[in-house]
Amino acid sequence: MQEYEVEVSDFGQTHAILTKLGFALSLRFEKYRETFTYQGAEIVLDEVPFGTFMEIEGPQEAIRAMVTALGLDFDARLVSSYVDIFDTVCTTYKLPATDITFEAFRSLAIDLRACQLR
Amino acid sequence: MREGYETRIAATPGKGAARLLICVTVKELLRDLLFREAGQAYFKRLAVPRQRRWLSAWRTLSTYQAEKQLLPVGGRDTNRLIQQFFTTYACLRAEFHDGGMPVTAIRVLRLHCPALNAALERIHCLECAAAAQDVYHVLLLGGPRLRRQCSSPLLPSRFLKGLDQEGNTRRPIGHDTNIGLRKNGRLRI
Repeated sequence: MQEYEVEVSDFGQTHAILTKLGFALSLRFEKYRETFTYQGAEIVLDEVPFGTFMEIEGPQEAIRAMVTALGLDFDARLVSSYVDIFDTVCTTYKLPATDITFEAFRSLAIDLRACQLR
Repeated sequence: MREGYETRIAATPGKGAARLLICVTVKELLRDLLFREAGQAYFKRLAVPRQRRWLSAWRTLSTYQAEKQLLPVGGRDTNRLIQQFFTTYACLRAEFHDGGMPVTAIRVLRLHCPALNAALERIHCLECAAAAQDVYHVLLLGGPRLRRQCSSPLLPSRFLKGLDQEGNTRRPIGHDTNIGLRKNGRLRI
C-alpha cells in the first residue's frame, strides 16, 4: 500500500473537502511523534494512546546497526501496525474504544506485555 | 524591576509560581498545551509580546502558527525550533478564561509543581520564556478569578537564580513571590 502525506493548513476545511469527495471517517488516530536522524537511519519516537513506541526506518543494514548501537533485541521487534496493536489491546482489555484517541484511553493503564504483541 | 507589572499582579487576588524547566519538559508542556488544552472551552488565546506597544503589550498568535513554529508535524528538530522561537519572541503566553485551566490538566504541571497544586488550582495565565541554554522559565498565574491580568512580558535574565540540578526551582522566584500578599492596603515585600 502506498502512503501519501501532505501537510494541511486548515483541519476543518480539509475534513469538509474529503467529506464532499465522498470519503467517510473510519478511524481517528492521535499520536505525538518526534523524529531523529542518525547515521542514515530515521528514529521515530511515537506516543500513542496505548503506549510509547520507537520506529527505526532506513536501509536494512542501517536499521540493524542502529538496533545494535541502542542495545536492543532485533528478534523482539514488533511488525504489527498500530491499528493491529490497537485491535489486540482492545481485545485483551475488552475495551469498547473505536478510535485511537488519548481521550478514549484516559485513566487506563495498559500493559502491552499482557497483550502478546508480535 | 519593571514597574507596573509587579504592582498590577500584586493588586489582584490571584497567586503565582515560577519554575525553571529543561527543554524536554517544556516540549511536553507545549505539546499538551497546543494539542489538547488549546481545544478546551477555557482556553482563551496564545500571545507573544508586541514590539510596538501603543496598541497593547501582547498580540495573539494562532495555535496553528504556534504549532508550525514550535512543534511541526513529524517532530523533526524540535529542540532547535523551540530555541529559535524563543529567540524570535521573548515570551509565549497562554491565557485562559475566567475559571482557568485546572493545574492538573497538564502532566508536566502535575509532576513538577506538587506544592503548587494545592495553592494554585486553576491557571489563568501561563508564560514561558528562555532562561538559559535549553532551560526555560515558566510563570504560572492563577488561583481565584483575576480582575486584571499582567500585561508585560517576562525578563528572562531575572530567572536564572534558584535553578537546581534538575533544572527546577524549589520555591517561587523573582517578582511573583510577592503575589497576593496585599495587606491593609500595602504590599508586603
